[in-house]
Amino acid sequence: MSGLRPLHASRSAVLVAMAVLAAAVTLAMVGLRGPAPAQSQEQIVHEIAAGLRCPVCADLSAADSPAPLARQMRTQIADKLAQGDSPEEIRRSFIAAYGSSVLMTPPREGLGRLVYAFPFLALVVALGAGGVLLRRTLRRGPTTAAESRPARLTEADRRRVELALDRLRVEEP
Amino acid sequence: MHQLGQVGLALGLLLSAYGMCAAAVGARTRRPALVESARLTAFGVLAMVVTVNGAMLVALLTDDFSVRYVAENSSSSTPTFFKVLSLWAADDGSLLLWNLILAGYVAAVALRFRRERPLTFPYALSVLFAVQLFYLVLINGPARPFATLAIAPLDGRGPSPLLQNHPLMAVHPPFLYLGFIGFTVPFAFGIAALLVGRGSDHWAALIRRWTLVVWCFLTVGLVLGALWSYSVLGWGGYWAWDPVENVALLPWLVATAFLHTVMLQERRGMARLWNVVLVIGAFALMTFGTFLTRGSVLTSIHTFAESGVGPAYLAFLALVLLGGFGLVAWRASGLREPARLDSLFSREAAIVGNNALLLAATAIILLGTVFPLFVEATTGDQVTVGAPYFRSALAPVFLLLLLLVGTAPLLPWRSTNRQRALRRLRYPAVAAATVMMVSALLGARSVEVAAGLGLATLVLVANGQEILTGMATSRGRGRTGAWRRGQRRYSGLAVHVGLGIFALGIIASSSFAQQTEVTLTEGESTAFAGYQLRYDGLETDQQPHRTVLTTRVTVSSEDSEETWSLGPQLNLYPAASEPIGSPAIRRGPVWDLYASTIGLQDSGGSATFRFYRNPGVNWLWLGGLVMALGGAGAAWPRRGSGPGSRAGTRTRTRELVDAEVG
Amino acid sequence: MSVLRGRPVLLTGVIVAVVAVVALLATGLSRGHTIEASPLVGKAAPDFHLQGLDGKPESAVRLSDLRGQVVVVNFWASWCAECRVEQPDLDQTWNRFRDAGVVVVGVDFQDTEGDARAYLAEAGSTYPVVVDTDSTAALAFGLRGVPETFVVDQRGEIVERVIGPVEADRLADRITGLLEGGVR
Repeated sequence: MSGLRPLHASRSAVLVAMAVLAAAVTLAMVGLRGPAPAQSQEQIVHEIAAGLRCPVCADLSAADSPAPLARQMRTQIADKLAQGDSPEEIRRSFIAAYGSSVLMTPPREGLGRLVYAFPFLALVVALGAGGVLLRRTLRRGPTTAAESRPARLTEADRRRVELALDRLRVEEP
Repeated sequence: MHQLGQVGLALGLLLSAYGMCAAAVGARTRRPALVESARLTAFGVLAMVVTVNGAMLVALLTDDFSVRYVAENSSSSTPTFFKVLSLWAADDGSLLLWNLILAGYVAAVALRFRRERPLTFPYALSVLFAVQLFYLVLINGPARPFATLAIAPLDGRGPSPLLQNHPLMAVHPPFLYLGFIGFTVPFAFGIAALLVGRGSDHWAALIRRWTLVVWCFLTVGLVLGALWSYSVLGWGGYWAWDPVENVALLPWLVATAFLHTVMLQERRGMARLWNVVLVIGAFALMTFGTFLTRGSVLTSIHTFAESGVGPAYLAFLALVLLGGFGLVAWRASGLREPARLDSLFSREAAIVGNNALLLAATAIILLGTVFPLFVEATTGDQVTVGAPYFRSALAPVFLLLLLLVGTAPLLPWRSTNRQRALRRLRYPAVAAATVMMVSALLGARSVEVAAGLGLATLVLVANGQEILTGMATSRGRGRTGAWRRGQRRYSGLAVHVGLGIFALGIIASSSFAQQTEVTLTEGESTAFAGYQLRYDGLETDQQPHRTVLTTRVTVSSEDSEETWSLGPQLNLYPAASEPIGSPAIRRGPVWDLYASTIGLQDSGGSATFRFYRNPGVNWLWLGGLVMALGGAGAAWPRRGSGPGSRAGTRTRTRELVDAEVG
Repeated sequence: MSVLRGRPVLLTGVIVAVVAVVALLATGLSRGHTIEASPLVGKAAPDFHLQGLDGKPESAVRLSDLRGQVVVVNFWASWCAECRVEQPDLDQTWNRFRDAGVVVVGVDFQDTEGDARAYLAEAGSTYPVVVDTDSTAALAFGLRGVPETFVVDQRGEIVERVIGPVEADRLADRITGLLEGGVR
């Protein structure tokens, strides 16, 4: 049984590595292909409306809201598209009437840039702090490794546990 | 009734004030009798608050319109069920329920510690009373539910139509309140631990179970809120990233972080200071949420009508932040413990990653939510930070989190035998990669979606596999025996499984839903997503408190003979300017067909519908349920004899207490 | 030593942070429910051509036809409670200034015609009222609810937007100013 172990384990490593590789390739290909272009008129209307806030509801976009005014916004967007207005022109016409708060996301200018930088900043700071913490606590490791490592478990105990575990893995279907 | 209510509130206030002082003085001067009197006061406060809630209930049920709250939020034609619900349908009344739940928690703490007296107890009791005192001051002062009208109107205005439109309103707020208010208990013990100051680990052990229970309530409350939104609001969605939803999610994220790091403290004596910071943070975020929701800062469907309580909430928030984090800063050096880590590939390191990601998500949501306030304060401009922002900003964080949830449970504590970890990872990894490839082949066009589906699978398979192999290990003792032996671990893994189901539901429903909007005249059909939908006319039902207009839609599936009927409604309430819709949903294991009427023309001769075909929405409710059950399992006291038993835990706690006192 | 040095720094940090957060939130509190000043104020009013509520062709109103006159455009609906509050003020404004060439135009927003007519009959209003069937005017004017009132000057520019009920006195001041060609 112990003879089987290295082979068994390395097969796992190969499997996991292949899975990771396959996942990475898949994701890269999906990313390269990019999002599907909106096909129908209805999808384009939906896309534009999803970026505009329904003015009479607190939180929903004009695409989501069941309110009559939101419905009329969708109708108006469809009409303007049919007239040959570009999505950008349509957005601008709503901004002219309502101000830029009609957009579901802040414009990427001035202070607005801050809110787009923040998610990256938050992630970098949080992971960075976590990383620094891990490094610091790890560096202290060696001095105390001797006392903190096996300590309570004797070598014989450890072997017994490992054997039991291995038997289990083999018994797995 | 209103006199009883007002007297009850005033007495409750006095009792809380006494309890707060007696517990604090008793703790400082080491007078157990004083502390005991404070402990008993908790039951007195509870009795008062129960009485007061009862008084309001009686006023509501007897249509006592001389009470302003009843006149504004109920009416004689309101069905009895919704009269009861009116108790928490508006700000002043919901504060009554708030106080009731808080008093219930304080009394539960008082009951739990009837014999044991850890050093932290009197301080925690004092903090609990202080919080109760604040909410009782609010309800005695700025918000006065028992205020009377000089002339009682003949009939009341009735509850807000949106809130009396669905029975889910009966359970969503109470669960959410149970979740929110529950954070007071860990907060109180965290503050107490800081006040006592001696490096004591036991406070974390004492409140781990409390926090778990609270976490379960909040999970259920949040999921019920999503279910309500989906079943009532008629927009085909369940989560709008509106500010009030956001602030409800914040304490949940921080509490989740705490439930993981508390294990570091229990097992390794690490992260003591950090855990205090997290419980104070969760409570502060909860307070911040109530301020934002009830303080008239934001407008949303959740915002209660304007009330003068905003400044009071803000003052309380300032006190919580200053007191809590000030105390942390004061005691920081005393609680800081040198942490030791043996390996990067260990449970400990994974938990550090968990906290980094959960707190990054918290920070992103918090900043996005207050960003409009910040912009307006600095430039006077108004901006919207809406759902599209949160979706794209949080996607990477949540994907990394899924990756962690799908791998970290495979890592043992302390350090890892890498081969063994790889072996446990092989099935989950292969399953995840397969799902990613299949989803790409089936036409997933976004990296987030393909990655998300794969990583959610990783979470499901990895955690499911751990439960199954773990249970198999203790074969021979019977399945229940096996479960009980590893109850805490299995329950935690079950929560992860629930999260995996939940994540699949979110990704599926937000990426593969179809929708259409059509106007149909009576008898006309439309084809949508493999269905034929025919409008068969309008039915009108006159009910005492509303008029229900049901638009009958007959649905036939293109690939089966079966036909069925959907009846999305528009409800006309006297108090509402616009009709309130009730969507009709045909729920299925994978696909929901969702119909919502958004307009009627020619007295029902034609109607405008929105139809949605949503995948995976029911997985959300299932995932939420599994998460809550898993949380409950982890909190459930272990039965039987031995060191894991209830009695065993108690002796262990007593030992800890003795050790601390000695 | 480090304890004594670290503590005040940390404490100060906490206090500064809390004060900043609370100050930010306090501005939100004092703001209340103000709504952005319309970006249209100072700009040309969007034109509309809407049918009269009574359906007669002669009661249709084209805003650009009223160039040279001061126009008060009032968005309302029969289901809106606050509209009832401002109704006397609008009637008073109309009666006082109609001879000076000022026009009050009621624009009925998301309403049923029967309800709207009954409402007007009850109020006894005499100024022209048109129906905004597809909410095109409402969307062009950036409407967020009713009632909302826009004052348009002789050159066709929006000079003021009133959210909520108007008051006759304040409206009169504004109109007088415009008629005198003075304050804008």
